[in-house]
Amino acid sequence: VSIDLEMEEILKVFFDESEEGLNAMESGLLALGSANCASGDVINTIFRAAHSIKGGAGTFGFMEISHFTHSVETLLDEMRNGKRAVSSEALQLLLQSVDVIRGMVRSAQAKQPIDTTTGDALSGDFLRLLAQGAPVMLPVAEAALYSLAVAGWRIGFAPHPSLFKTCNDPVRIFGELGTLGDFDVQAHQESVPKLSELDPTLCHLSWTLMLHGDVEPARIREVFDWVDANSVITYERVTGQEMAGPSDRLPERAAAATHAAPVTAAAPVPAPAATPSRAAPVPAPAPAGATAAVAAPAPTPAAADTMTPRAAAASKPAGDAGSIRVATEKVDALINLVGELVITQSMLGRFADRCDPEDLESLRRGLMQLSRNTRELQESVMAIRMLPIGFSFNRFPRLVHDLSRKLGKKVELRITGENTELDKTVLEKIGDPLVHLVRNSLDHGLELPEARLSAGKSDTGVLQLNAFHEGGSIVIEVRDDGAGLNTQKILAKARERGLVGAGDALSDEQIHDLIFEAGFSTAETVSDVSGRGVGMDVVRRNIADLGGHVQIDSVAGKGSTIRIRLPLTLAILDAQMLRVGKEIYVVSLVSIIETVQPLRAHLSSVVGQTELFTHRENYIPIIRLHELFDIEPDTRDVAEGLLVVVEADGRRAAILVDELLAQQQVVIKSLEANFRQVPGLAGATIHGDGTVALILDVPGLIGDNFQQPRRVGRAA
Amino acid sequence: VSAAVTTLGASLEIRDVDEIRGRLLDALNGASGLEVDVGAVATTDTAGVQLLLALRAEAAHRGISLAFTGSSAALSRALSVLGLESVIAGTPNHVK
Repeated sequence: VSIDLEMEEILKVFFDESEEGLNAMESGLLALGSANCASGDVINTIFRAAHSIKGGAGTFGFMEISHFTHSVETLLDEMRNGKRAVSSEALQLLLQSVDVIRGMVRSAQAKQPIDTTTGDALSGDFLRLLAQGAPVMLPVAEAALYSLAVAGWRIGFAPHPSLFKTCNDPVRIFGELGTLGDFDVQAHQESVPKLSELDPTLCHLSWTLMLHGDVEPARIREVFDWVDANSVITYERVTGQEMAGPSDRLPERAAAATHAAPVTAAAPVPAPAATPSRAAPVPAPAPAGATAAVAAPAPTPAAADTMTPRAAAASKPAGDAGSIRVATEKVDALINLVGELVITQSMLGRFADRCDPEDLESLRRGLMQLSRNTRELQESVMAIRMLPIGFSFNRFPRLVHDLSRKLGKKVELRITGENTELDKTVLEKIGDPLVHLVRNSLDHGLELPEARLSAGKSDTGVLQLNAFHEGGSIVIEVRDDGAGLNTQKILAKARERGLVGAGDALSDEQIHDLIFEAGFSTAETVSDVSGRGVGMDVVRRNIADLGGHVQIDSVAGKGSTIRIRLPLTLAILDAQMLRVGKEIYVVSLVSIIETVQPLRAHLSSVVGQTELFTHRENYIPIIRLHELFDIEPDTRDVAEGLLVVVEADGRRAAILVDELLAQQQVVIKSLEANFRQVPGLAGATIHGDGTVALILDVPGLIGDNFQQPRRVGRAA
Repeated sequence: VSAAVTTLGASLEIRDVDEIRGRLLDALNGASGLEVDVGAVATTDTAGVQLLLALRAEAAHRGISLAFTGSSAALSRALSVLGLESVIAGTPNHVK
C-alpha cells in the first residue's frame, strides 16, 4: 500500500510539473509569436518543457502522451537548431498541441482513458509540416581542432534494452548534449542482430561520447536525467591530450595542456539514480555531485568548483529556483496555530494591568518581546501563502491571443507587476473575475483596427494588466485604450429597464456603476465572448466576497480602467474595536474614513425614516447598530454618541456607536463555518478573555441601508 | 533478376519499427537485391536507425545486395548524431 501511495505522490509531482511545463510552453510560444523576443532561449525553454513531459510520461507509462509529445519535440528541436523557421503555422500547431497534451495529462490524472483522436489528427499535421520543409543538413561539427587543449568528458552510454519503451531516444539525448558543447560519437553496433532475429523495440546499441569543453557534470547528468536506472552511464573527465586521441595533430599545445592539468586523468562520476530523480519529492542531484568531488583526488580548482552541490543547484533552470511546493492544508494549520498564539498573547497582555508592581516592568518587557516575536512569526508564516499574481496573469497572453484572432482585433498585452504577491486564496478566486474583465475589454472596449485608425489611434489596441501594492492592499488594474464606456447607451438601456427614472440626472461615475447591475448588457448581439450580461455583477460580488471592491474610470474615446482593490490576506484583519452597550464589534480599519462627534446641526432626517448626517457637505445615512442587532445602547441620541464614518464600494455611511476601543489585529473566524451566515456580519474574532466579538460587514451594511433614489425603482 | 524496391513512409520511429520490419523481411524474401527508398522519411529515431542496421546485417548474411536511395535530411541527421553515418554512406550502390 505504501508503495502505491508513494507512487501516487510521485505521479502528482509529475502532473504538477507537466502543468507548469505546459504553461511555460504556452507563454513561450506566445512570446515567440510577438516580434520582440530573444527566440533562442525561449525555444530552448519550450523544448525542455516538452522534453520533460515526454520523458516523464514515458517513465510513468502514459505512452499516448509521450508519443504525441514526441512529434512536438521533433519540430521544436528543428527550430532550436535553427533548421526551421519559427513560422506562424508552426506556432499555431504547437499551441494546439499544448492544449492536446494538457487534455491528455488531465485525463491521465483523472485516471480516465486518454483520448488520442485530436492528437492523432494533429500528429498528421506535424508529419506534413516536417516533411514539407525538409530541414537542411548541417555539417558535422569540426571543432576537434580547436578543443585539443581543452578538457572534456568521456561518456559511456550502454542503455538498457528497454530504453525505447520509456520513450528515450539517443538521437534526442545526444542532440541535447550538443547544446552543452561539441562532441564526437562512436557507436558500438556489434550487438545489433540481423533483421530476422531483431526485436526492433529493444535497444542493442551503445555509445562512447567525447564531449569537448569543461562542462559542469550536473548539466551532463541533466541530459541523461530521464534515462532509466538500468542503463549504464559512465562519466570520465579527460585531458586535452586524451581528447585529441591518436590522431594528435597539435602535439605541443596538447602537451602544454597536460602539464597545466596533470591530475584530472579520470574522475568517474557515479551515474545518478536516474529514475524520476526530477520527479521525486526531494531532488537528489546534490549527493552525486558531492560523491564525485570526493572521488576525484585532486582535480584542478576549476573542476572542483563545478562539482559542488551549489554549482549543481545553480545550473537548474531559472524557473524553479527559490520556490517551494507546500500543501495548502499544512500552511492553513500553521496559520491557525499562529492565530492561537496571537490570542494567547493578548490574553497575557491583560496581566499587565493587574499584577504586583515589582513584577510589572519585567512582565511588560517580556510581553513586548512576545508581541514582537508573534508579529514576526506571523509575517513569515503568512509569507508562505503569498504567491506572485503572475500565476493568475499567466493565462492571459493565450486568452488575448486567441480572442483577438477570433474578433479580428489587433491587441498588444502589457503586463506589469506580475511579481506582486498576494494570498493564495485571493489569488485563486480573482482568476475568474479577471477573465471576465479582460474578455469585456477585448470585446467591448478595444475597437477593430479600421475603427481605431479612423479615430486617429494606432491600429493595435493596448490592453494592460497592472498589479501593485498600495497601503496594505493589492491593486489590480485592467486598462485598455479602447472606446471607453458608452454612457449614452448605458443610460438609455438603464432607462429602458427601469433602473433609472426618465428625469434622473446621473453623474458619469454613477452611469459607469450601472454596468455592475445584474443582467445588464448593452451589447447588440450576444457573442460567445461576452454580452450575455452575466458578468459584471458577478465580478463585483466575487470581489466583494474577497473583501475588495471594483472601480471604473472611463473616458469616451480614450479607454477604460477597471481597478480592483483587494486585501492582501483573508486571515488577519487590522481592526478597530467599537462598543455599543455591552457588545463589542470589530470594523476593518481600512473601511473607516474618520470618527466624529456629531453636531446636532449636522443631523437631519428624510421621509422613510432615513436619518442623515452632513459629512463634509455630503449627506450620508446613519446606521443604528443597536436597532439592527436589537441591543441596549448607552444612548439613542445621535448627538451624544460617536459616528464612525465608513466607506465601501465608493459609498459612505455613519455607524452610531457608544465608544471607540483599541485598534488591533484580529484573527478572522468564519461565521459560516462555525454557525451560519448573518446579514451585516462578516465573521467573528476571539478576544484575549475568550469572549467573541462580531466583525461588521461594512459593504453589506451600506448596501442594506443605502437606498439611493435610483435604486428604489429596482423592484422589477 | 531485378532488385526489389521498398519505399519507406514519412515516419521511421519506434512505433513503426515492428510493421516496417515485417515489410522489409517480406521484401528480402527471394530477392537478389533490395533497394530501400528513404527519401520520404521525415522523422526518425534510434529505433528506426537500428532497424536499418539490422537490415544491413541481414542482407549481408543472406548475400543480398542492399542499396539505399533517396535522401532524407532527418535520417542523415539522426545517423550523424548517433555516429552511424556509415550505415547508408558505407553501402555500395548508394545513390545520391
